[in-house]
Amino acid sequence: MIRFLWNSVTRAFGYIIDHRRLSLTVFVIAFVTVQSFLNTSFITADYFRKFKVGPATAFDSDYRKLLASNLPVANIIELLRRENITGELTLVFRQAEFGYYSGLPFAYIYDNTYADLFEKATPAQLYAKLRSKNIKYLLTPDYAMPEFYNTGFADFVADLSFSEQIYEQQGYKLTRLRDQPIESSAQKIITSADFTKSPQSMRKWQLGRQPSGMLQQLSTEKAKLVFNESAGMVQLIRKKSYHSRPYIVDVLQPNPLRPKASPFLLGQSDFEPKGNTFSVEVDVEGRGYFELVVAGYARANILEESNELVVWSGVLDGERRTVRGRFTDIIPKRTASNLAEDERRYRVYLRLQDGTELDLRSWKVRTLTEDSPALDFVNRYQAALDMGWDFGDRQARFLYFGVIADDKKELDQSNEPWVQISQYDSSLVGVRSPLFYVPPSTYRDMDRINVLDTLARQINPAIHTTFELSGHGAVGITALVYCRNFDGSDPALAATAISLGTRILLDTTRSDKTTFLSSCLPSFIRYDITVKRNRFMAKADNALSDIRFRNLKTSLSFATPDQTIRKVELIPVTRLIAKNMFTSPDVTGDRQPLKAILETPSK
Amino acid sequence: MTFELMQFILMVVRGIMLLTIFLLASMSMYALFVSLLGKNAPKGIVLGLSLIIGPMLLSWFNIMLLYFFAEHTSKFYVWWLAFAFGVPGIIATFRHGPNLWGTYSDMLATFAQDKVKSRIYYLFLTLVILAMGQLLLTQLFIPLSANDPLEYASVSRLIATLHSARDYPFMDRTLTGGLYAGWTHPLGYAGLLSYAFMLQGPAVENAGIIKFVAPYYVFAQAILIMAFAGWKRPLAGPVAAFILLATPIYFHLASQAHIDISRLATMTAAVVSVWLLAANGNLRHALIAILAIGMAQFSHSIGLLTLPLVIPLYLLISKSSWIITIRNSALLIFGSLLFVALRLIINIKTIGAPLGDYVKIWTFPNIKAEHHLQVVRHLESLYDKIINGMMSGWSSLEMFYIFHWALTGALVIAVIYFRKQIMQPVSLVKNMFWKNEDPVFAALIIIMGFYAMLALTIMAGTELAIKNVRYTMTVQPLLAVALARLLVWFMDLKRSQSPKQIRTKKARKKADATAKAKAAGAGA
Repeated sequence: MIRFLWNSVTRAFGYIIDHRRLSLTVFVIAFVTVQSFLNTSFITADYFRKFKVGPATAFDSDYRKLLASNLPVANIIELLRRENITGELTLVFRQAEFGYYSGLPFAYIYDNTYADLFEKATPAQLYAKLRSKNIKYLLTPDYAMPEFYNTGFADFVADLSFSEQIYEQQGYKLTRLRDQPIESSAQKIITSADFTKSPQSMRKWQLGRQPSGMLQQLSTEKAKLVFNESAGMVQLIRKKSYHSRPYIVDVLQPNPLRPKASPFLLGQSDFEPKGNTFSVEVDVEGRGYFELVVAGYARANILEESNELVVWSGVLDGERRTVRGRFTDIIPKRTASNLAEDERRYRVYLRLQDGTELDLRSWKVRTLTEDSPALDFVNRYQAALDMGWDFGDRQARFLYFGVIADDKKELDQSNEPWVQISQYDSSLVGVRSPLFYVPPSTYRDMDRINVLDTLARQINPAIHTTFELSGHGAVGITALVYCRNFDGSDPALAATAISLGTRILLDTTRSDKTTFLSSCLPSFIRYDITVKRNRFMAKADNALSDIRFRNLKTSLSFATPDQTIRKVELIPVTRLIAKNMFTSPDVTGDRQPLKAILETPSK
Repeated sequence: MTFELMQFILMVVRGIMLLTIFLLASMSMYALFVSLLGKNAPKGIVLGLSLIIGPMLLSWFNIMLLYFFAEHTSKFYVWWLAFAFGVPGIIATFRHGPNLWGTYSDMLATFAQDKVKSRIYYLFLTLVILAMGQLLLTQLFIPLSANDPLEYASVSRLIATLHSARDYPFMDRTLTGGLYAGWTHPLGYAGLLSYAFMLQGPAVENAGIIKFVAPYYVFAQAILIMAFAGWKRPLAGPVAAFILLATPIYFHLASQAHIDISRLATMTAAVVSVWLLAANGNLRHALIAILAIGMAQFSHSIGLLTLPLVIPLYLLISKSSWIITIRNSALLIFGSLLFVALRLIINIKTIGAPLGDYVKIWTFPNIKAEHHLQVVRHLESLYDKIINGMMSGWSSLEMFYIFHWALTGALVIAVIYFRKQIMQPVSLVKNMFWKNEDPVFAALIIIMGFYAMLALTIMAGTELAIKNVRYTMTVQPLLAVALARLLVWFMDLKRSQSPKQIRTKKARKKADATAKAKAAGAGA
């Protein structure tokens, strides 16, 4: 056997060596062909992954799929639909998705009607112009646009007096203009450095620590940091490569050829958050593209949980300017953990593109609003809380509860001879995870459990269920609450099973009502209904219990921070046809929309 | 059955209707072309041309109706056009369909004698079909999310809702609700999309059947390329189609219903029609070429570049007398421009120039939009413009894969092989290459012309032609043709004579003679 194998191998090698050109050609052609075919497959697979298309969502509308894949613009459209806009416009810096899917009136930056907004202007002047054109919202994309950073818009958005940022996701930002400008209070400088006056402070800046938790030592050939103490500035230089990749289409990933992201150059300084909204200012002169980034992290985790936010990005053309950005405290307080407050940090750094050279003269971070009990976690989330739990008619088309019935499961043959128990599981589930609640603008990926936990404890969600049962037999009901974690990739965080008890019916009809507390904001609620058959109770001609379960109504109540109880009704009237279990398929009508009721009962 | 599933099935049914109308329009074109060219015309190539020109001509008529007979109901446009193209299409299908299939199966039957080749043929055909299957999957299930396709879709939806193309370019926000499209693009693609919208109704949350237009053009393009590259070398057909489909940027654009797919298809059709015209310079051939070039111009504003590409090609490879060549060139230029004349006049009226993105705020000195583009896309220095812009086919492997390099390699090998012939006087070279009918030469001339044009724009100091890799993709179909034909040619060469044979003096002489004969034979 071994000899045979050995002979085959040597013969194969012999053949390859004898026909090495042919073998090489065949190998190269085969390799390239397979690889080329993989190109198409990778792109297809990437698309399916990106939009999370699976059996459950395959037939949804395009817009639903965009929402399900957590596309920032889709979430922003949802948020704007709730803002109850009447005649006020959103100035969009990119019209594609908004223009096609939203159906909301908007203004596009390239429209000549709005050209005068893009002349140089102070924030106050721009505010007046925007108001005069009936614009209330600004929607900016995740990439730098000269129409934004080279006009009055960048400074306008950085100034707390005229606008508030109400949503931020993956670089997409929705800014709402204030009805009246306010005075920015308490502009306290938390940390700053002026290298022209104190050159030694520039030594704090260093190269090459990526916020991903990985230490990356940048080669000195690629990037340089020069402390020019006599001129009072830090020079950041990132050399140009012989071939730079301008951009990579996001879903385009022919695998082995995709280059690894090259490390960026960073200067940095850490500071502790003492406030809620901050402004970052950097006095910089130079040439090329760069980003001003803020990353938040907990010290104990050494940047692992960091979460970065680009507060300014753009291109300098040799001029000197002060670039400004603003961000809101994005690290929730760890009340439930053993980490102390002061272990939270922020870090400001600059990220440079190949070929960018910058002279940094000074930088500072200011608190725009004071930290006070009144501006604590809940308050900052108040706006979002108020907006939550909304089921408009528009959503109703796709948010529904449905039944998924498992096949018959023979569980156990009981030892008791006179009781034969067959158990069937059927779940009344929310087949989609409804967008019960849009996370507040400051909600970021980090510390998700902490945020949700705190939020749930603040609002005490309770689930009220009423239903009607008729027929005969025994039925046990369990509710499973799947928590929402506002992450598109993982809509259901965990399930809490709550038994709602067993009912025995003897050809009777009964209405039932039950209330239970949830430990989180539900993504969906699943009812597991177990039908049991007691032989002595069963009719002779019917092998199974015959239970009809209908008119299920579920509502959810929660307390807002001002102790108002809000209640949202979900009316998941569904087709209750479960194989083998519900013998009468006529129990229900067709699927009906969830109605939008957001009521505030009297106190 | 859930509501979503019903919607989905309805979309598929409408999609099939749309594709049927496209195919019937193509068949009616096919009948027309065959009657013009006579029975000896290469059927595969004519079919490929009609598949591309048919729907685009339907789009042209759609836009003309929407312009001159605006504001009728959707049904008016949908059914009149379906009737006008469908009835001849049905007749043509019955008349020419069996014949077409017969020709193809005859070709396969003769081809099947060479077992190795026919296996490779089927392998690549399978790969092409699989890739198209993947494309179909993405169209059915992946939402439309890319910037340009969504803008085109919005514009087309608006045209379909207004039942009028008179208000385009859309610069009046009271009419559009905010949508701004101050473009100068002719409405070729938008005409197809708005036809689809009128067929399915203006979808709000769905893109629906408009996503079928790009894959249709991938299919049509594949058929044309298979026929063109497979001319007298059938194996090169599926290889070329596969090379095109496996170009990541092409497949990516096709999966997101980008306009470029139809633009590339019509441009390829224009080149192929001129190649046909070069062999036989009569007016009937010229008519087809005029139509093809017109459609290429109508499909996108870059389509206007078709003329400066195909006219030099025609002058180089035309076999007719110089008077006829000049006459035909003039016909091609003026005839094809008729299809976009209306748009060009409107553009000059509205923005003062026949072409160009007109954005007022880009002229503001504080914005520096051009500088931003140069920096962000790494197109600042001349070196950058050449490496990252013009040569992106070679430098952006993640978008173009290795096909540009492969063609370069293949050309180097071909030049080494033909070095003796190339060292001959210019007149002989001219006879060998320029007057050669082989599609490789037509493709190479277009590729070189295109890169020369890019070089000229860079010299003129504009990044217009290189600012987006999608523009560099223009010659990809022809690159696929040239590469596939060269590879297959190598394969034939390998089989007819191994390199060892050439080592003896006698054999070398013999090999030279064979090579010459081959070069001549390839032209025959």
